[in-house]
Amino acid sequence: MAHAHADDPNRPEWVAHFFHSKEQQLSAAKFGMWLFLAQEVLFFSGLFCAYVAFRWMYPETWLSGADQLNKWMGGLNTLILIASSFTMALAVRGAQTKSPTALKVNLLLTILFAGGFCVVKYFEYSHKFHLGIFPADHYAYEGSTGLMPIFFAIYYCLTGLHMIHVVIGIGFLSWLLFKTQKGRFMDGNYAYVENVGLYWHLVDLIWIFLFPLLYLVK
Amino acid sequence: MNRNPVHHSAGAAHADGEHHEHIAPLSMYLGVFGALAVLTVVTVGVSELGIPQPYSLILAMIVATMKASLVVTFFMHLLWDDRLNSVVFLGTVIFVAIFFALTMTDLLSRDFLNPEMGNYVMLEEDKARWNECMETKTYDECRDKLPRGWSQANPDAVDGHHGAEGDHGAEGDHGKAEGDHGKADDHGTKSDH
Amino acid sequence: MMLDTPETPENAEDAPAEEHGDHGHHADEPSYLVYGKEKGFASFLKSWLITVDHKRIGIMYLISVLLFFAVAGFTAIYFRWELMTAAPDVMSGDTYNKAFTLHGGIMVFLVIIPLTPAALGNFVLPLMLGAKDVAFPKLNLASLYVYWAGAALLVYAVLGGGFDTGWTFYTPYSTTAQGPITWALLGAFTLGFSSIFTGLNFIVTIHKMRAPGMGFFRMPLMLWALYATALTQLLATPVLAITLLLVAMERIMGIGIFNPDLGGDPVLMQHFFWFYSHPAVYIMILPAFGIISELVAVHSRKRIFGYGAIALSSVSIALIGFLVWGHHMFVSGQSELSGVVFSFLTFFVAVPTAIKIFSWTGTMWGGSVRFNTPMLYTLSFLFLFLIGGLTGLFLSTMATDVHLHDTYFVVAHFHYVMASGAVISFLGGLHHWWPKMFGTMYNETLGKIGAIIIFLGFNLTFFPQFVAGSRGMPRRYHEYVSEFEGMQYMSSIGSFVLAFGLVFVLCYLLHALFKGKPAPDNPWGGVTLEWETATPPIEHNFHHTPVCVRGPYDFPEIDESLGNGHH
Repeated sequence: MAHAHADDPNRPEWVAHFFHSKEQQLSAAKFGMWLFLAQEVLFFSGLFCAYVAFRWMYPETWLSGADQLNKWMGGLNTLILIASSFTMALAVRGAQTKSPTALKVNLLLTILFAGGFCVVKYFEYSHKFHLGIFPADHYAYEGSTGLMPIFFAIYYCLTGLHMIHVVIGIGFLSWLLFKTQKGRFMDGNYAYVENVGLYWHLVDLIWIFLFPLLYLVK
Repeated sequence: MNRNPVHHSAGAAHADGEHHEHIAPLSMYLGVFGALAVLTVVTVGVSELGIPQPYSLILAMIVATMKASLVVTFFMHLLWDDRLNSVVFLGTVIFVAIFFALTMTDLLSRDFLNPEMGNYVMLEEDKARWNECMETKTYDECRDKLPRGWSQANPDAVDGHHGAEGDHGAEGDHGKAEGDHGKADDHGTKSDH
Repeated sequence: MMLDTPETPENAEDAPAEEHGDHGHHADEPSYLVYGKEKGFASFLKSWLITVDHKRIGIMYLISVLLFFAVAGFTAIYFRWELMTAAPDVMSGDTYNKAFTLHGGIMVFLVIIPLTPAALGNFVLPLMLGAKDVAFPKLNLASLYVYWAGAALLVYAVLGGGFDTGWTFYTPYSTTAQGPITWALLGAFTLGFSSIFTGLNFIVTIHKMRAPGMGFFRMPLMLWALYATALTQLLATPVLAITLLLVAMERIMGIGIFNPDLGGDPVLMQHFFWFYSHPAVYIMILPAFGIISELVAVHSRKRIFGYGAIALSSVSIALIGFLVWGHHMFVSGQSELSGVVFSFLTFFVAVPTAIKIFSWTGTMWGGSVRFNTPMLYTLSFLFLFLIGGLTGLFLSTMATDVHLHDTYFVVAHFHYVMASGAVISFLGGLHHWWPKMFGTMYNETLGKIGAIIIFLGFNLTFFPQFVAGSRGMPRRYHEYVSEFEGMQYMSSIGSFVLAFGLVFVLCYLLHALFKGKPAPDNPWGGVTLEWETATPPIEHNFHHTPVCVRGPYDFPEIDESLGNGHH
């Protein structure tokens, strides 16, 4: 269909017909991703706002709520997620330097770290379920006072929504790995790698605030 | 509106091809990762020190903001990227701030012009503390024992909650207190309260 | 009034190397409506359903939106029929509650929000920019499918017994009432993403894909309006998404964030909801401002008065729109201080809006106004929107709002702004761009008659509601005291006239679609880029990248420097 560009020798195959140049396409892709991230931030901000509201209303509940959470596990997960962000950045660098090995290895490491995050989270959740700490209405833990159900409602919503983003991220990362295996992203068209990277860093970014707010502050 | 030099809005500015690709050295990524790890350890460590309430929160948020800035600037390449993307990011932060600020304006000022308004829930502990205080002191002296947003002009309103506790017996032990539903006017929908 | 398309030979030379494939006349290539037809009906249908062509997506949006508009319209007629008399004689209270919820929910989420941006905007935005498509055509198609998915969920909720929460889904009623409310919540949640995708696409397209020579301040004002709309869609809609998700979670799992029994706060839900839904009002009205700016300039044959002021006021309305949501909550249990702050901030919205109205009037002054169908809709918009806007000031004043809250005054106000803003301007825009979209001309006389019927019907429907409301008739009542019967009767008659007018317009437009005279490339003598391409446009819009050499309203007959003289 790219009838207008068919005979331009300097134009890579992968530039869509409606873009003037590959620079236009790449900058549009990245700008679009940043707008998507803006949307994600506002999506999460609703829950953070609820956190601020209820923390202000019930300060003591919030303090004792943080006691119920295991800050060492949370800290471990923070380190894991930061490491995954690091390997993701290196993966993008691998695509920039056109090194398939660096891209593949770093994508794989990122997926492994993401998996590790999920495993730690699984132990945290299952421990709470075991104690009977369920979201709000189903809350059945006897050993705490205050408005714990509402604290845990916020906890489960925030970490759960974050978890869903991690799982979606693992999906995207695996897709990237699969495509890299097939030899893609080595021709300068690595906008997908960059954009998944941006998404993954945002997931990290949200956790960076989530962790101290839920686990540490008391 | 005279003729401007013809150029592509996005294309021509970057006509030198590889302009947008800034390949940062490996050492920089390692340095950022190291800084993030150190800051994580610091923030967990500080939480062990038992710094009193508002300061620990401020400290933790400062550290978190530092970490976030590192991720955004270096890992997400905003430092070298099109300035527009930074505008998007900072703009988002501003909108989140608007959202928080105006919502919290309401919550923080519910009793500001109208002392009969407060927040909906009073904890069992708060009630106990209030009642204990009221046994020996006057209403005005005990006002600071009330939870925030709950500066009832009429102390009976607090006592009044004792009567309702029986209704809540099944759930009473984790301190769910009586909601003051009357304050929430469910206009526009048919409230069944 | 025919004008030649501007010739730009030297500038075409200057433009970068995409100017290949110049095969002379547009007629060589089939239009976007028919390409793919030669391979048989099934493959033609498929070529529409999996198209990434923004024009086809726009047309499919248009059809879907109009379909839901018809459903919501019939629902409105149905309950206006009930409201003709004070006694409940046509339907039960329960049915009435479901009917007005259906009308509100469909009109807001399925009709007005996508009406101008997704249907008309999708069609005209890349053409006006001189681009060959939007930046992310597949995302554009995804937005349409997400729209259909969300619509299916809402329809499922309606067929599964209906819901009567009102379109606002206020807690605690929405979390405690029986019925398929969860499906409706998920439907609205899904529709939000359709809106976000469209907005995201438009922002990127406007930033990155303007034609050579088109700076931000050479864009047609329609694009400024769509840009401001898209910003709002992108930044506000996610908050609605999380709100509806939390309400749905409340219904499914009882998480308690909005449940006062568990320490939650139902007023917090209203904050979250209106953080989206007030800006959503501007999602509905800003594109209308864009359409009116185009129409008023092109059909007055005069450069628009205060281009910069109109452009920037669109953006400032979008931004101020984020600061005023609390005026929906004056009597909700929000703090009085907040009420005062929100009331104060709300008045600021009137400033950029007044700038616009002033500029449009200024544009017409001394222009050669053509009283054709698009212009009649424009005048009708100016009249109706002025009433809607001014009554908005009464409602933003906290003291009067406490009296008028939840009365028919509010109903009349938001129909004067929303229905006149979105629907009347949309109809004007549809008539303006109809020749470009379908390549045929409609009957001008019938068009004028239709515009007048709609104008009269609209006023007859909603003006009595101002009177009834200010005298205390509450909204959402299906049985009311007989004092209001006269007003309600008039309003119902008006709604039948309005419905007749809309059906009348539909009929002659359908006739024009199949039997209309072929339209020239530029029937109105517009100088924006969409008039430079074929009618209807070819698949990739332009044979070569057009070059923007003048402002969007530099009509040849008023701009001596371009030397085309007078007509």
